[in-house]
Amino acid sequence: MNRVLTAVAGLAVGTSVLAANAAATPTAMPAPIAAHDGEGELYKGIIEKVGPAMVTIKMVLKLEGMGDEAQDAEVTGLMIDPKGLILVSNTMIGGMMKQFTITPTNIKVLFDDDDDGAEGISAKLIARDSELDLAWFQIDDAKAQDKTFKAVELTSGAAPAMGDTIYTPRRLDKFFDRVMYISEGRVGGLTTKPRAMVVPSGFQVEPGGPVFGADGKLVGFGAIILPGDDDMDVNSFREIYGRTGPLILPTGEIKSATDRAKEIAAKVPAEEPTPAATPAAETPAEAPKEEPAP
Amino acid sequence: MRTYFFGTVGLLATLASSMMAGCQNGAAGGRSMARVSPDVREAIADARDRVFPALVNVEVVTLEYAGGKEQKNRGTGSGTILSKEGYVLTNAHVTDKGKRFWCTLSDKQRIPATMVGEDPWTDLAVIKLDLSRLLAGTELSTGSLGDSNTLTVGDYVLAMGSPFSLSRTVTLGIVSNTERVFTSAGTGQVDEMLLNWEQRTGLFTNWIQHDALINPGNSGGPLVNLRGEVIGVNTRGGSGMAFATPSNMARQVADALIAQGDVKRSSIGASFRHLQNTGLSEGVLVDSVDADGPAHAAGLRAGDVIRQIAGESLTVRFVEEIPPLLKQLADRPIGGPVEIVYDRGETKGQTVTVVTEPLRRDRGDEQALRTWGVTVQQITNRMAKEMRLSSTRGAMISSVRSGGPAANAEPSLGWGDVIVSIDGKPLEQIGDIVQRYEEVDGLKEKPEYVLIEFERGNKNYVTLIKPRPEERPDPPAELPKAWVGIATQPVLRNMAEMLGHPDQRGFRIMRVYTGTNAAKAGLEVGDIVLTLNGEKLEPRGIQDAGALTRAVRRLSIDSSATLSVLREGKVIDVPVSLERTRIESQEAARARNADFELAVREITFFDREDYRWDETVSGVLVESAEPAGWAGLAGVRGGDLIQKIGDHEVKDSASFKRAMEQIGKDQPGRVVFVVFRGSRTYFRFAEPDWKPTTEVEPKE
Repeated sequence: MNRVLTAVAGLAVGTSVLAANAAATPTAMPAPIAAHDGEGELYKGIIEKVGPAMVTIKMVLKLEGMGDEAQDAEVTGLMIDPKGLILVSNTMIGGMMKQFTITPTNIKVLFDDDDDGAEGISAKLIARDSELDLAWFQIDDAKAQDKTFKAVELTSGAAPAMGDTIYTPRRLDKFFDRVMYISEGRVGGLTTKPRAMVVPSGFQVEPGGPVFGADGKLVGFGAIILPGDDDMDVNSFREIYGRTGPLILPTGEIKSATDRAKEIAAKVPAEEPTPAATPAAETPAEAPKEEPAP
Repeated sequence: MRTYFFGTVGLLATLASSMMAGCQNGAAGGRSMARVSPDVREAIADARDRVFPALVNVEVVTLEYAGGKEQKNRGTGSGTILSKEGYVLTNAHVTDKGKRFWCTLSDKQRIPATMVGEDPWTDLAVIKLDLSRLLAGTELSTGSLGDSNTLTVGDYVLAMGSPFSLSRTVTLGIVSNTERVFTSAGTGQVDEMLLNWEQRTGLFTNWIQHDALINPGNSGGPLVNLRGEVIGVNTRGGSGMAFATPSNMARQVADALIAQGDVKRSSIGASFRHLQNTGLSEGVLVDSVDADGPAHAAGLRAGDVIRQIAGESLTVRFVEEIPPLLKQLADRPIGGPVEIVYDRGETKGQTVTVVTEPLRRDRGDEQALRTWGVTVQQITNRMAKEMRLSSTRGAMISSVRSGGPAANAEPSLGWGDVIVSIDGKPLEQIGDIVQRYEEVDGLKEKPEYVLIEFERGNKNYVTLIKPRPEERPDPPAELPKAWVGIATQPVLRNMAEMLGHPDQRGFRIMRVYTGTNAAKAGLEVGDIVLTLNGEKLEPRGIQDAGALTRAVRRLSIDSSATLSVLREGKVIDVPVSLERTRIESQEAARARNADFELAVREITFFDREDYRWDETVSGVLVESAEPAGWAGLAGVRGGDLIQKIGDHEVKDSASFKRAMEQIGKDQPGRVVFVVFRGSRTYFRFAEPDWKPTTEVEPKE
């Protein structure tokens, strides 16, 4: 009982709703809970607090240079800033295929409280972090210019320990009206290399799925970390995701990457193209000296 | 029997084996030719000389409709110049969906050609050379069509054409059969052959089967007798057998196509079965009758036995006699009365008068409604019957672009749906839909939604689509992080021992990237990085290879770091200003050109490193060039580095865009691309067709 009460209270702090306007004011905490349905109240609490910030993003993924193939995609993202910054898994938007360029287009963000038939509001992908399996969308729709969104704050609680109970909220598919539900498991392991991550046990985390501790604070995000260009032994990670599903990237690392993404978001005007920045040193220089002979 | 149209070349993998087979055939041929009299050899040479100069290689750019948009493709075939006016006879499956044509003549001139007419029912087509493009003084050679009825089994024949696009070949064989039809195993009935899966073909044809070797690319080429006459048009083949359309049919079709652009034929809306195994001895069995056709209207029914047509008695005993019967009916005047005498059960000798109707194509024309993300097709009578549609009203969706407005509509539109109205306005045929689409697409202020009414199965739906052009945003940027311009490998315990410093594990520098802060700081290949900002780096296994890079990435981009490195037995501290990670190819700035169907991107730092291009090398890298687009036809390929287009130097995506914009304004007849590929440059000559025939991509 105590653990559950603590958890709900913690949830209110750890994932506090950041909306600034009255409409986005946190709702009242759930009523005191009975011992027999304590877990149920905890689940409900997570859903009530996190659900409004878990948005659906629809997009068309374009595969550049391969006959212009395209594919519809729908992913769940977590609003992490009331100004419309959304965190998703880079893998879920084609980011793991480094040999191809996959560009999300026609991006629309859908909310729980959308009117019937609403097509969502537009957003743009401002940055991706292939190393950490993160990507950030920024809502840039003129209709939402002055709007604040319900968001989850990226603050972490105590470092997760082996055996801790953890929870991940998810959304079902459109067929089930994207209803929220909770999966529960435990910390089954902790990695230090190639980076510190949490191994879930008893359930699978979705890529980009937020994971909470029993104190209601954000533990991290489901992430598929793949070897980079500098990793020579690519076989060393085989089967890992087949056995465990995505691991959990701790909130601290996500936060520092997000701070950098926010800097980019702040610099990019709403309608400007994303900075496919070419550093000055990379600007092609002079025409070739070689004069081809026909 | 499985046979193949031999127009499209693409089976290069089979080329080697085919060539080997050809060599074997040639050896066998050589032995037999040794016993052939000199007269025959002379006849072969004479026949070759009469027709070979009139043989052309036909190149075609086709426009296909798939994935909710138009797509260009390339094909090749063969043909015969029929007249000094430049008419070329070939196969309809060579020219099918063709938008641009070129013919390579015997003197190697490559001349543009235009469509005169196609007859899919016989798989024949005529195109016309642009005589103004011939070099001065060129005298066109022509082939003459002989009488295919004089052919007999065993006659020598020569097949001429461009197998696998190889120019100008001739092969020798004999006639194997003069009245071949393709029949289904078991039923003994004529196979239904289709062009493009929808259009029936070969209904009226008794094929000339022969064994002169033909391959993909021979289609449309002449089959020649030893008198040097074209007695067939090579059309199908497979398993060492070849099949040609008889010249007498080709002559009739070519004359009609040249005279009026098409071949007018009649239909009575019935099909027939030969009498073998029916127990009948005279007439022909009516196998089926179209419920809405003239035969049905006149009172004929399936099961009737026709004894006379237009006063002439007939008996169709064998399957080979079916095509001539169909041709006889098709050749009758459209709308003319045909008196038919038939038996029905015990009632003999009944007479009906059938008024023929035009034989219409099975396959409907297609159009792309690009900003809606669909292609639509005219519904023909045949399509309506096959798809169990209530009528030919509206237009059928033939493909949908994934993620496009039609695909995203709720309910979404899909293949086979029939659009019957737009914004409440009923639509009769494809032209109405295209017109309405163009009206909406041309509006400056586009409506938020277009109301589409469509039929699927027996249900009538409405849906809303939101017309919008395809978005093409720049690829997203990777989150910049701190970077030191070196590549490293881990030095593990064993390696450290072998290198003579067993207690000093770390990361050996394999490469110092030129022009980076790492190079400026004096880091060298062979240095072993032991610590980063004082923290020991001790890789335990190859799986730690990326640990140094990851540690650097956690630092601030604009900060500096100190690497302590082991160099020549001494540990020295090297301060390095960190810089941002260099962009990868996925993030490079891109540009597209719709006219030339070309997508390019800028050179990245790592491209220069990988290709060993120094700063003097500039240009844009081709990401994709549609094979049948103007640039693709010229030979521009993915991976080429475009350095110059016409007179315009190309250094980056901006200069590429400027160059293409100017070329778009000037609309020259020829555009020269200078590309760098591998270790050398190539000149590529594009021949744009600036006529606005189609909009393949929305202009940027």
